[in-house]
Amino acid sequence: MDYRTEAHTIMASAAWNPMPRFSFTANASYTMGRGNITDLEFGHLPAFFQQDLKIWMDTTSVNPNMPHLYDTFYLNDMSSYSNLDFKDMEIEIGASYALTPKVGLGLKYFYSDVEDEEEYVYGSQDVTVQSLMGFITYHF
Amino acid sequence: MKKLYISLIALLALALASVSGAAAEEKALEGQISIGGTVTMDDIDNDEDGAVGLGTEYNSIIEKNRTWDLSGDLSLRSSQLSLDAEGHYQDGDDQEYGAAASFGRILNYKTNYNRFFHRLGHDELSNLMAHIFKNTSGTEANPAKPAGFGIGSLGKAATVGSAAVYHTDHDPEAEFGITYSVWNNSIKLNIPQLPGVKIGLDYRSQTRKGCDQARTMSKCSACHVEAYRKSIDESTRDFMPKIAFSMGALALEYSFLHREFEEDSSDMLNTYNKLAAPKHVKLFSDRLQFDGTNGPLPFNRMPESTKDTHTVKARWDLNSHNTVTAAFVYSKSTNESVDHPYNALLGYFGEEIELESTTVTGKWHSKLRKGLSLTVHGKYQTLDNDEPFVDVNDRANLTTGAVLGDKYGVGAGYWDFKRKSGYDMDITSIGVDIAWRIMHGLTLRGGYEFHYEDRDNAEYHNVPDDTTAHKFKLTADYRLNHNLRFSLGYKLDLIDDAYALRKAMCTPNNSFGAYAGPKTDLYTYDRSYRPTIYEKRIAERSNQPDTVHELTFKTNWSPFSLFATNFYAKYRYAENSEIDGRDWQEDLFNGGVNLVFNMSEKMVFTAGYNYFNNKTESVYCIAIYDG
Repeated sequence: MDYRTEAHTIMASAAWNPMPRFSFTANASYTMGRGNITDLEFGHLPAFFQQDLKIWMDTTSVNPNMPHLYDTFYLNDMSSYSNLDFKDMEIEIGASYALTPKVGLGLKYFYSDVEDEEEYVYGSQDVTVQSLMGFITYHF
Repeated sequence: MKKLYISLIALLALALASVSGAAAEEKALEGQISIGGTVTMDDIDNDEDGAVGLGTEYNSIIEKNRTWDLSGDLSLRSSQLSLDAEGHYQDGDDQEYGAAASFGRILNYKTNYNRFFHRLGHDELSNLMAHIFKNTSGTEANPAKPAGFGIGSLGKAATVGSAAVYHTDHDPEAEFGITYSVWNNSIKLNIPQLPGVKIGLDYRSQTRKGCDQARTMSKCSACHVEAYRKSIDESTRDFMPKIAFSMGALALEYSFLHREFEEDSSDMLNTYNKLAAPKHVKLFSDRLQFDGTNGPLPFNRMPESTKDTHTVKARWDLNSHNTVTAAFVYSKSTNESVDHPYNALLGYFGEEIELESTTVTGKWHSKLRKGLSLTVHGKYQTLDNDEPFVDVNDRANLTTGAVLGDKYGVGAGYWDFKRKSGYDMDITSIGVDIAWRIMHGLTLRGGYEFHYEDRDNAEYHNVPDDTTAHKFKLTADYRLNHNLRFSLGYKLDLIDDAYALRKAMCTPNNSFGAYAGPKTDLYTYDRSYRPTIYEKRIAERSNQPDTVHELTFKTNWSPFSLFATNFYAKYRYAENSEIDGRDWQEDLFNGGVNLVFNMSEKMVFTAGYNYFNNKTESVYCIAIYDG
């Protein structure tokens, strides 16, 4: 079988001081990741395994599409189960202003959004978070 | 302990401040203090329950909505004291502090403390539900026995079956995470009366606290996977005194590391399913080490341990063109958790388990002439593990009362053994590197290394006795002018007998062996498992390469003073054609571009792009087991 992982990451940042007392920063990144199994090719087991049902068991609850306990053909389904497909975008914007040479004010905004298109054993990892931080700085 | 660390740092800061007061007339103090707060507008507990996204895996504040954000740094200079300190507090689980002080350049002290939260995922186990035969007769609390079951209780209601897997998550709503903290300290003393002598002491403390998911599984019933919430409380402390001596062209350093790992996490216990082999439960009862009849048993334990390491380093400048360096390292690691009543179940019995390692390295560097240098290096390491005695539990058969060894005439204790470690080995490597500046702007670097691993207990683990590797590398750096540089590199690894599993799968053409059962008796394993499963596993497989090609390219280009860019790319192709069946292969490409544009003195713009692609081709062999 083949297992392939692929990721694209784009990032950009900027810093700008339009005036002596004011500064501005911005950062952004975007990641797109994928992983998947291909060419997973288990064949049907020989007939003797297919006959090897535990015939004394109550099989009424068994999925009729998977009637045989040991038939490795059905393992081919795991090729899609372990797929990976996510998109992650993060943006951070900050600004600071100097009230006086010793005292400054600042503001930062953070945004993170993860889209998980293929759940794994940990369930959906979709997360969207925004936070805003304000601060005052004293220089001595 | 955290409060102790913070208190010690605070005391140190006060002590340093008092010292600085003594030299107040000369002090030059500067720094900044920042006070703020953070509001988190999305709460993953409300709308994204338990999610661990890439952006939140290490974010400790998103569940707390409002947190303080305090930070500061200071720099103090006087004739007798130099001090730099910084700190950042965002949350109890997100703190970072550091300081460096020098007292008259005689006593130097550095410290840093870092604490952060790592949010862990919760395995819902929902995939572990295959081919289970639910009992459709009776009730869940009191299931009727399916026809053919010759045993009374299976230990778990409504979960019967043989070749089946199912799960129980005992804490389905639990969220997991570990608070990690590390505190590093280093003191160095320069003795004025002994100018060639330096004395030092390093101390490092690392803790992991929180909770994680612990899993275990019943066997010889259904494959019942059970998960529990486990509290984690681990600490590692390093003490490392050292002394360095230099005289003329000779420099020596000796250090001793004593490491203690202490574990105070939850003692996990699980009552496993009872043996469930329809019609044959008594036959199997003497072949198990344990099952549900043994009551609660421990799992997911981490043994406490210590490690002592002696290190001697030497450097000798033979002359201005030749330097020899050498090092000797001896370490002994000891498993201290050997007095537990479940020693046999945990894989060791009666005595401490020790791992010894001895390493000798040497290097000779010579500037043969202007623009040409030669480095010869070598390393020898030997690893030696204890061989703990494993006392296999001889259970009495429910019918005969005899142990399994009696049935075969070998008696109890026949399957006891001394564990031979797969890590016992000798590793030798020797190599040579050459750097040659052919012309102005063009430098070639080449190297060769011979690597040899000799495994002491290979026959016990079905792996190669030894592995030999020849590693070649060649790099060309070319600087066309001040604005444009190129670097092109190539590596080739040729490995004989790469690490592999000698009996990994069935015949190389993936055909199945002849099958003698189950017409007469399904549980006559001499007729079914041995010839069909075990003895057909004769093919060798590995995910380690016997040939590796790696090509790298880098360029830096700055067409004008305000603009700079670089491009990089790496391609790696690895394969192993020595193994049976189809070759193992790996294709990897990683490349990207970065640019920095100083648009003006007031504006800077940077951007980058990275592409990663990795593809591996493997052969999987799924063994068939009738559980």
